[in-house]
Amino acid sequence: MSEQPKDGPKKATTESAPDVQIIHPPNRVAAKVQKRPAQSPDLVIDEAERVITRLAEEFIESLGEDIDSLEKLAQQYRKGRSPDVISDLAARIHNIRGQGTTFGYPLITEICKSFGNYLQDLPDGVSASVDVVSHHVAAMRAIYRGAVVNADDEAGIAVLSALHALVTKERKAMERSG
Amino acid sequence: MDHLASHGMRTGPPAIGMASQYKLYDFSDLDVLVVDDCRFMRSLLAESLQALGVGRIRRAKDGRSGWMEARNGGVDIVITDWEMAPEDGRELVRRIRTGPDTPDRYMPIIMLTAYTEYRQVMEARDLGVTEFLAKPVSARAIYARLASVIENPRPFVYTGSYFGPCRRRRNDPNYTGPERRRDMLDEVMI
Repeated sequence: MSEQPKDGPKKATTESAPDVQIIHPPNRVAAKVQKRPAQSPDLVIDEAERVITRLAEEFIESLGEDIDSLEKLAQQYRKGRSPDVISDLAARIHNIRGQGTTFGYPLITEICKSFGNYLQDLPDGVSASVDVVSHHVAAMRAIYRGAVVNADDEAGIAVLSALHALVTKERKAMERSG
Repeated sequence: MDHLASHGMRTGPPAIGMASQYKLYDFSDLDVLVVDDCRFMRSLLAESLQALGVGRIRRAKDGRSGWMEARNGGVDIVITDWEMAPEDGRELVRRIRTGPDTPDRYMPIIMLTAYTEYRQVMEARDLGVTEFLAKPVSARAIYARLASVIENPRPFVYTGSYFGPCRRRRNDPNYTGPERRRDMLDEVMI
């Protein structure tokens, strides 16, 4: 940033030092809310948690459709190793990753995380392994079909261990090939 | 490993019962903009905010449409995802904090992120994010972030290379020890 901010709330107060300016803007949000100090927010929070629970049920339905899309993309990638396809896959998996734990599928999130980390660590110009892609997608399908949700039960640990071993193997192969 | 937590930064929901430390607020006059490219997350955030009593909730599906909505004015708080296309949360934060046509460069920005790794968190911090809301999201965590914006506002700092909320997390008026970090504003954590 090269330009010092010029505008902002008119009532902000400022302290200056040679290299640092500290600004105390008015707290506009606090000015717009009423406080009820004698009451607990737990009731409204519980109501909002129920909303999340309802959305979780909808998420589970849509997760199946998302996995269908991932399978199609994985098949396309197997045919052509297109960077566009892998970008699309990565974006979709990123979205699922964020939702999995929120909606009760932490194991799905762990698989997405494994895939995301693998892609992130790929050197520039190196294509993602077809096996890594297809195994991650297949693992998601298997978990969805079997309704395995937790990363710390036996099936969950087995799935994650297998993916970890595959990713490690691919990384080593990549290192050997320079 | 949750690097946010390891650096003393608030991320996910506090322990059950912790939200009671906050007061009950009437959010009906608040206008919150939710920016997320995932329909479910937009719904989750918007409907949770509605259940918490927020009066107006706007939705946008990426940084650019979020920016257009913010520019319309009236937004009190932005809750935005990090990775979005075609324009991501980074760009939205940059525009709000340092854009020449920003509606309010002091607007509280809560960054919603699945990325709790150190690098992404530091980048968001250095762009001027006010609070972090790590997925999985809970209503309790959302409430806690709103309450934090109200109860613990931070001063803004301009250093020439940074403009945003002071990256020092704590501001204890009773602290009498040495000001070791007085000249290190660029190096301290949120």
